[in-house]
Amino acid sequence: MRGALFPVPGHEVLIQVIHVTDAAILGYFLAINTAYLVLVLIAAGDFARHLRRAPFAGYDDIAASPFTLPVSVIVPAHNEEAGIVSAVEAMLLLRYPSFEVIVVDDGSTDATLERLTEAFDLTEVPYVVPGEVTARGEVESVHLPRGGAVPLLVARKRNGGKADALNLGIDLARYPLLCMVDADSILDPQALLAIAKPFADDPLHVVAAGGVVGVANGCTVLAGRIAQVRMPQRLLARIQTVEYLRAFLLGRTGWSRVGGLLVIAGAFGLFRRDAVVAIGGMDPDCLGEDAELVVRLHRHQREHHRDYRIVFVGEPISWSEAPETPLILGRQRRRWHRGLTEILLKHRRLIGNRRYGRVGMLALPFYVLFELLAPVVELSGLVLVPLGLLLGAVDLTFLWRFLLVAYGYAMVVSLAALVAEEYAFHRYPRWRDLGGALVGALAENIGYRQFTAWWRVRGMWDALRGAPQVWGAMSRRGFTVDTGDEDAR
Amino acid sequence: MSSLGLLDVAAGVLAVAGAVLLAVLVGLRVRRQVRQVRAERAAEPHRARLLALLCAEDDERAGILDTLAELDDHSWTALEPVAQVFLGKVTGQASSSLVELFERRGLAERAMSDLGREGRIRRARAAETLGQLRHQAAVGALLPLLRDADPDLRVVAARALGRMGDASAVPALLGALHGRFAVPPSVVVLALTALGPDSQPLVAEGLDASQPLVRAVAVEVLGAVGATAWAPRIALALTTDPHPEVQIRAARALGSLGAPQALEPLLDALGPDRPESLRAVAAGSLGRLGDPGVAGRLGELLGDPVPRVAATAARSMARLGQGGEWELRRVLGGIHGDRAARQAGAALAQAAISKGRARPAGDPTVET
Amino acid sequence: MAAVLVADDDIDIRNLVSYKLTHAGHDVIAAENGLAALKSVREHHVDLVLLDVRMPGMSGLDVCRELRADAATRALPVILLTARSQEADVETGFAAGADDYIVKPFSPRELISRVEAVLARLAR
Repeated sequence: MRGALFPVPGHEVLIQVIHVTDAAILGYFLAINTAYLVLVLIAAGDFARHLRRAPFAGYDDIAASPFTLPVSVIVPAHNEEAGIVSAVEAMLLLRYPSFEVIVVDDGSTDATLERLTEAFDLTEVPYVVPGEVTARGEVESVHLPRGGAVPLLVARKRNGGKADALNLGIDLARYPLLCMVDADSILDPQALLAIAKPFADDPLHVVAAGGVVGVANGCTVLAGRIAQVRMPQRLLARIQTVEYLRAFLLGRTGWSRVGGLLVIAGAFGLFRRDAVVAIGGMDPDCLGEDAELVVRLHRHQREHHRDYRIVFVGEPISWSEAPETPLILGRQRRRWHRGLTEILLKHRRLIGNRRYGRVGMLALPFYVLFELLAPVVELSGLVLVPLGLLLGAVDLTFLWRFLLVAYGYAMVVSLAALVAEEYAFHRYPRWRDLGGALVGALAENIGYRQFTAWWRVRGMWDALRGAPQVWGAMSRRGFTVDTGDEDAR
Repeated sequence: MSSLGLLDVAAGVLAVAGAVLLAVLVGLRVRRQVRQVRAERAAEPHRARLLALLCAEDDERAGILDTLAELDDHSWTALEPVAQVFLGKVTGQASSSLVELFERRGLAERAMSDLGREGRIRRARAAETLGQLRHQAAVGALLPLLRDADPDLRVVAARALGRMGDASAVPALLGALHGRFAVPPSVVVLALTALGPDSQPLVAEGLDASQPLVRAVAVEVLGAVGATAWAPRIALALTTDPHPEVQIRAARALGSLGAPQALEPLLDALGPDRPESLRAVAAGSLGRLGDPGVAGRLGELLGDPVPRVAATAARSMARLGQGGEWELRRVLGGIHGDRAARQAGAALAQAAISKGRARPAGDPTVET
Repeated sequence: MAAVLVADDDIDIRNLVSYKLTHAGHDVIAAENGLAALKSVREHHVDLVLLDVRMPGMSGLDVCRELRADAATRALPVILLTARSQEADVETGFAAGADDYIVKPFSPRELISRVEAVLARLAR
């Protein structure tokens, strides 16, 4: 029963067009979810393999061996006075035989440097910056702790953005492996051991490894370490927890297995220094500098015919606070999508190019089709389907089935991701957390997707238009800090 | 079928899939929790006895060992993982008591038979267990696993052989470095350094191997275990080995061996025609040797166009005591130009702030 | 008989050390991190402190420095527990005021003799 509410000229043609578009959108939804389901299944297989091999992974040997490659941990910081001291303290206590921590204060206007100076008894020293990678912002001062026993170096530079701060860190790093960490990341004590393992197992080929980022909201943090893993209280953060699990944990594990891992989150990644120096470090003009670095690494390695690997480490090891208000979430997604668009534009020559192997033929086309364009399709669906209803091209019985299948499939994929997490890591021990996750998986499809799609389209537009960049402002609520003492530092 | 019908079928399939996944999710969780509770309940009463075994004095040891060795299978299955954790955390008599307990429970025997059975996971677990127990009889069975097609199994076998401390494994470990199924060098190095002094002549045979990687590993191991007898041979490798990676390892090893023969070859390795990494490592090793006579030569490097070489040389000079410091001050004065003066200034400042780390004099327990 | 505080984030080590010390006739207070250790020292009578160097948040070295800075605990004997790979910590440990150190993995027997040696030195 289809009756037009508003008969217009060329009505029949329009209805045909809408029919075809609706079918295309549905087809797209099925394709994207199937692709994700495949990734989740590949990842689940990888987890199973990993889990069975964990008893003889030899972490104790790596932790005790003087031959484990030393790591320079690079922490870019911009106005982080609130958390920088506890972050650095926690990093200095990571379980790893030999590493140094380099904090790059990117022109903070708050007391970031003063807090560090007090806590670690820093003193300014003259220092010769090697200049193997160039940072644009001028180096203002270098500080070392008195006594020389704490492996910490703090450099202050003129503001130049996160990528520029990382470049200075890369330049100052003295060790062959670089670990790039956000100042607000909370790392598990095993984090470095776990992410360095691929480099020890396959030293000739592995050039970069990414780590899992979990949502820290709701978790109890004791002395800079996650003490109890919990689902966040707020729905928005809960949805993101499920989203992170599906897209970051399982999605990236899947890509790693396929050999097409394109994104290593800036929040926690390990790189071979020589490989990063060879490509000139981070690109300070690109907003998604973390992903851009990985794409450029792939490109350089392929162009030089190297036999290389970029891998993802599935163990949950790094935790970040997710935005809890719609506005900040929107801005974050706008920034992320802008970064993605810029990267794909910059490296468009690789897309569909046989020379770049699975990266060019599989991973990049996937990103264009299912990441870059997803919010566009989502929004056009949101416009076209009601339009079809209005014009009588679609009726309600069709519409609700359409939505049910499209979103139902997405929920099944999320559910599969939750099953894989439960099987391999079971980090959320309470039944209440499980219920919370299910609610999150459901709520993701009602409002959240549509909301973020809008912001992502705006990010894409920013990139195409070339709008000026800003350091992502993210006001933090702070974690539930339970220090067990009243005068917590 | 109409598009509506198709959608209905799809919705049905999704509903079933969702229900199944939900059931699996809940099932997994229930199963895990039940198992956990059961295992804890079974292990709990015996935990204290295990601690007692670890802490036992000679007279009580045998009795506790008997009780634990005769534990019923159910309790032992629960206690075994707890006991295995302690294997890596204790030494001395506590460790030998644990090993004896495991032997009496037949763990080693079971692992030996698993080693010959199908299944890579099973074999790798068995190899790991045998390594933890330092079960000497397993050496012969572990050697062929160094060439297995499974990379993890090869690594586990190498690690276990290192723990056994049997020098006869050296040629096989060195051989495992190359070929289609190889073991990562860091694993081989760690295993070889764990083998003890008898193994040194066998490791030194690797210095003449045709593969550069084998020579590099041999050099690194001899340097790490402090095999000073081989210092002249390593010094020769630094001068004559055709492969730069071997030269670099040799330069590093000579720094840790601290042998006087090392001085000349290390100074030669600083030459501008040698590879950058080698020059940096050689500069570092000269600092570790601690002979203030080289301060002048290192001082010249402070203006080097390669920043890494200049910075390492500066830090090395700061380690040479009075002589080094004096030379740094001269460079700071500008005898080698501005760049060198800046490096010298940085090294002096860093040395000044780390002075606070002096430890109480005359404490014999601390190694330098 | 002495009151010994054991601070280590590894529960197996806490249990083992507590067992050994208790059976040697000492009273044991266990703490799972540096802050808890300091709190216990202030609230209870303690004769000796065993500190793991690598603990999250406040390390054993930090605890040691705090103890030395406070007049009430300045003379309290401290023994550090440190992993074999981190022997550089030992140097820092002595600078921070520790009396002795034990390398992990350790033998319970060695642990008790070190503890008693430090206690005996103090009694003299």
